[in-house]
Amino acid sequence: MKRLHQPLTSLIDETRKVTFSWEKKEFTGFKGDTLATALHASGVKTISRSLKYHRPRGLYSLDGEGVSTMVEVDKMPNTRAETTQIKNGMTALAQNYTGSLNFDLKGINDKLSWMMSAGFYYRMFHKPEFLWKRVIGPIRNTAGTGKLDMDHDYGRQVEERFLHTDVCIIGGGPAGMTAALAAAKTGASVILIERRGQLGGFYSWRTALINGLAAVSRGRELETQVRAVSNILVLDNTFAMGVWGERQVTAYRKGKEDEPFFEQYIEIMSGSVVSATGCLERPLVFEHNDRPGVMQADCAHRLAHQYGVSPGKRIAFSTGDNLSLEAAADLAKLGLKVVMVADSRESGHDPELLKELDKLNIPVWKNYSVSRIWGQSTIKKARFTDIKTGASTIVVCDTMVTNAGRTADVRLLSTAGAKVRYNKNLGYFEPETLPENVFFAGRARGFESGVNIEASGYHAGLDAAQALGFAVESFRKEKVLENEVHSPCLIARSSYIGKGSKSFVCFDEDATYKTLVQGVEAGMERPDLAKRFVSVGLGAGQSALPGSNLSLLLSEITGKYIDGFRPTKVRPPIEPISLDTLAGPNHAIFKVTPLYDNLIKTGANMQRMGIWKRVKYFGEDPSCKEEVKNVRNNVGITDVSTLGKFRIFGPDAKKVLDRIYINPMSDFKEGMLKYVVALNQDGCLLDDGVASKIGKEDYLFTTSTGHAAKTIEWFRFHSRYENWQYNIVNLTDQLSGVNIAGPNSRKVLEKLVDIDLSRDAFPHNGIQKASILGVEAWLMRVGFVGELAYEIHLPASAASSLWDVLMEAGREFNIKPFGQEAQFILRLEKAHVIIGQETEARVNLLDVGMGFAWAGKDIGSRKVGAYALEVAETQSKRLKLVGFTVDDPEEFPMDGAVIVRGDNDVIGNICSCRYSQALEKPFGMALVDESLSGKGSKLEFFQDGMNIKDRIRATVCDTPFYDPRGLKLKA
Amino acid sequence: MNALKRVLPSSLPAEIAEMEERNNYSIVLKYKNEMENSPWIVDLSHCVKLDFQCNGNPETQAMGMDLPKKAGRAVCSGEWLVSALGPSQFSFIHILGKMVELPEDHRFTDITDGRCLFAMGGNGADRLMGKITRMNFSDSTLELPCVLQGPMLHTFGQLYILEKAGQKIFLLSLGRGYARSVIHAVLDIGAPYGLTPSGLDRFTQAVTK
Repeated sequence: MKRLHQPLTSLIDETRKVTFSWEKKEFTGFKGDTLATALHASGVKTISRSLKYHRPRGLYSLDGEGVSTMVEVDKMPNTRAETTQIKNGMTALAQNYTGSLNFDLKGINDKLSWMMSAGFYYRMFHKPEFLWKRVIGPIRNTAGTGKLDMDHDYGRQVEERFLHTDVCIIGGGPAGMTAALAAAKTGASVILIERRGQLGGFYSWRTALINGLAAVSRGRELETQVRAVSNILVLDNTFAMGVWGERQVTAYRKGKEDEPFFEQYIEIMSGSVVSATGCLERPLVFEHNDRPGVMQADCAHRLAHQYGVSPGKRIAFSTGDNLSLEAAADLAKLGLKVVMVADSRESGHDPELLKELDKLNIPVWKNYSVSRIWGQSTIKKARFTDIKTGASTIVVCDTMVTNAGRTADVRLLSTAGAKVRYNKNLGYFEPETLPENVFFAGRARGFESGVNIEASGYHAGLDAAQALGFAVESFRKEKVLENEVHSPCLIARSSYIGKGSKSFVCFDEDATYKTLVQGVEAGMERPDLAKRFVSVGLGAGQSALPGSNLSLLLSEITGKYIDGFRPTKVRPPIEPISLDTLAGPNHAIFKVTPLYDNLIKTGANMQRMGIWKRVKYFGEDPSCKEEVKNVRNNVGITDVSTLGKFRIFGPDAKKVLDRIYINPMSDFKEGMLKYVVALNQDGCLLDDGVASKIGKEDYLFTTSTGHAAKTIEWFRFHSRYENWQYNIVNLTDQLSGVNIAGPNSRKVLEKLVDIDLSRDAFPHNGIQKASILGVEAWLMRVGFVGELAYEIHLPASAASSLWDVLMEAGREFNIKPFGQEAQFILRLEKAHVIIGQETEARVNLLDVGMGFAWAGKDIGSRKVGAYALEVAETQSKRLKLVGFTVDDPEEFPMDGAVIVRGDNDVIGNICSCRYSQALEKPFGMALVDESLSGKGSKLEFFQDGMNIKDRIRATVCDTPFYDPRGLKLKA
Repeated sequence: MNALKRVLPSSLPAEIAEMEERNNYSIVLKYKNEMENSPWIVDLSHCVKLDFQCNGNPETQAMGMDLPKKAGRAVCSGEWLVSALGPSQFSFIHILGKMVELPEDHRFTDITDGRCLFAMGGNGADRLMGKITRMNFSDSTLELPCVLQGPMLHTFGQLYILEKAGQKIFLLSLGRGYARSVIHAVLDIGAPYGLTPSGLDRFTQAVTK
């Protein structure tokens, strides 16, 4: 189809053809076209089918607010045809139909709509109960539109961008641009966000004169000025999603062809925000107002002026504002047939525009609106009705340009916390109050003249800068405003629509005027109730189109004052954003120890455990039999670098250790470690480790891997009211740790250090400083796995080399690495507790049999958890930690299996259970009701997958299971 | 046996043109294909880093150098970058990465191996930083050099900002264990913008301008 010629406002390049496919047929458009404009230019009016009734839908606003133009583009469902530019080779398909787009078999739903009254889903099928179970599946299957191809690699590159600015302006129209220029003049940094690809807002498609210059030219003039200012960052193609506390603005940007991302998530921290988002056209509600060929006035105007596409052959208008009159005149001046303009207002028409329309022989019917149209996929004729008398006239047309006037777009302000109220003088819902440092400007304030809109933006920009302390007075200009006469359109619907069973209030959810009345009759007369009951504004359009109409219509139906019917709070995101963009780039950020390469070389199977990647086991055997055996009989080596390590020093360091750890802290012995346990205020176990005095008022202590990151905060929190002088340094990453364990571990280490490692010189729980091949290291004799063992902590950069040296030194003893699983089994045989594995939120120090660590009644240090222990000491019926062996070695209960008594009584659970080579049967530890904690008690386990009456039986036994006297540990 | 060899927490994926042994580390001085006009990233993890804490005894000097008076401020003192992380906590980084004697003062703790440190500079480096951190490094009120503390790639760290010859140089300091995944992510983010691994010489030239 030949395009109209309007070079001043055109966005397309007719010298560059673009070929794409739609519904598997080839089409052409021009560079700059959106999918919707290219299809419309090619005569395709129906773009999708509606959600519930499967009615044909076409383009409506060109801003893609609703689901009516959601299509699948290059396998990506729910892409907005109105805002997606065509590219060569693009493949687009319609959504939500069965059969073909033009003959949708599910269109039968439209005929059956009388069966689906308001609240249909809430009221039907719930009784009898069995019915609901049958229908829930089919109902859910019909919900939603589009389908992702899970096997397709979408290859979408997404980015995150974090920005800070003094003033953030949302909306790149005339008010937004003047606001940006004004704020930037004061020296403030400015970010200007615009959803379209070019600045200019509603100037962009208009040729009307603003101060003697065509609006589009004035817009470009302002854009040139804005882009030339170094402290203004323009983000076009960017959709603001919400304004949050502290004026944080979230948005996303669609990448241009030369940009390396498909979409970019943006967070902006700003000092002030100016909302200059302009106005929305309120949809006019009338019978069959959703048919392809019905469109808003700006849509028709933009189609012709920016894309050179004729909206139709016989165009009728039913609108309620002066911009629509301007659009009608502009279309006629391009040679298009505008048959008439119905204007729902009695007065307030721009006299110049009326004169122009008269010259163009376009009749203007004041106080009229369209009440019904006929036609299925195209419009055949329309009925116009006098709002006062009800007199009707039929007009033959194929395109219906409509609106019920305009309203301020306050959605972003709503997310910022602004409350809106109805302004009868403007016919707008406008902000009643604004959050601190949030301003709004432009058309949304009710201005129609370009001069006023620009002045409004300019002063808002200065206000925004002034709020941040920038000097603005020298930039203030006297406000020279043009007089404006407001005569707003106050209706939301045509008066003569009958029951309105096909008068759509919400296109997304196929909610009609009739269902809205039914909702009110059911008592859902408030917007927040009606919205949910009738499903108005719950679709992907986020209430953009039906939002303000809902309140106006409810006011009219109930006869109650509009102030009681403010629009519901807008839910973010204002603009739909795909989840992959919101999730951000797929960068897995985790920690590895300095031994990572050594471990991988040795056949480690790594697993992500919290923030670390750690070795689960080596080789092919997840049960780790050989790893366990080698430690018990020979010597093993493992990576313990993830343990928390801290230095604490200063005159009050000991006091804070005394506060945090439940152990007595008065008996630090030189060269010896102290096992320490930290509790929370409930007396429950939080963490454990070892501590040692390494100098005057200077201590080194370790924590579990999981607690390391929280340790400093925990110390500071529990000493926050004390004026203690201590300093604490996290050495977790600084010191790497290697543990060698097993009867031959001493022989291996003796080859590398020159200190006496004999039992007397370096006993169990000893700590010594030693030099290993020129590197200072801490050697600790600890025995988590129950064998003669040494932990070597040294600067992380030397750890990899040390590992190689130890492997070489241990070669003659057949040293082998062992991982987390082997360590888990080895320590379980010693009944050593892992906090979080053998403990839970209800379990305190005494319950797990670790009362030996408690310093006893608190005498002033106010140990964290001590008071709770004192209370718990005399309590009965608490869970107790016990050891057990499974009666039948062939049965193997899992961690977490419950302990039951009788049929229903759950009296505990298994904490850990593994197979012990030493015992030759499954064994473990469990938390169990005190009454069954005695040696010889019989336990019955039940776990997932078992028959309801089946049990696994076990017997409570003494612990430790291995080396009960600790002879090997202390060897 | 030889002394234990020191190993850096990560390596940059580029072909090495020139390297030297320093402090028992292998330090890359230059990579092949370094680009003159693109943003660059240099591994400074070998640089000596010290933590100095003086809670209860406020100090104005340490190791003979003035301490910044306000948290977030930093000073370049000879070859050291001294930064105030809090009212009584300071970081010392020997930014030229030479071998230095550690001070006797017990309030210093050597954390050289505890932190990875990467420098990023060149054209467009500030734009890249906006994709790595939500900290306000472009605040016009910041007096450089300075240190910001907060999330980088959603992980807590320190961002030191220097300014040399009108260009900002960013030093990213995070826990050593994060080095590999962070460098992988930064290079991935920077690849479309021409971010190239560079040797120590590139950084030395930039800071000694």
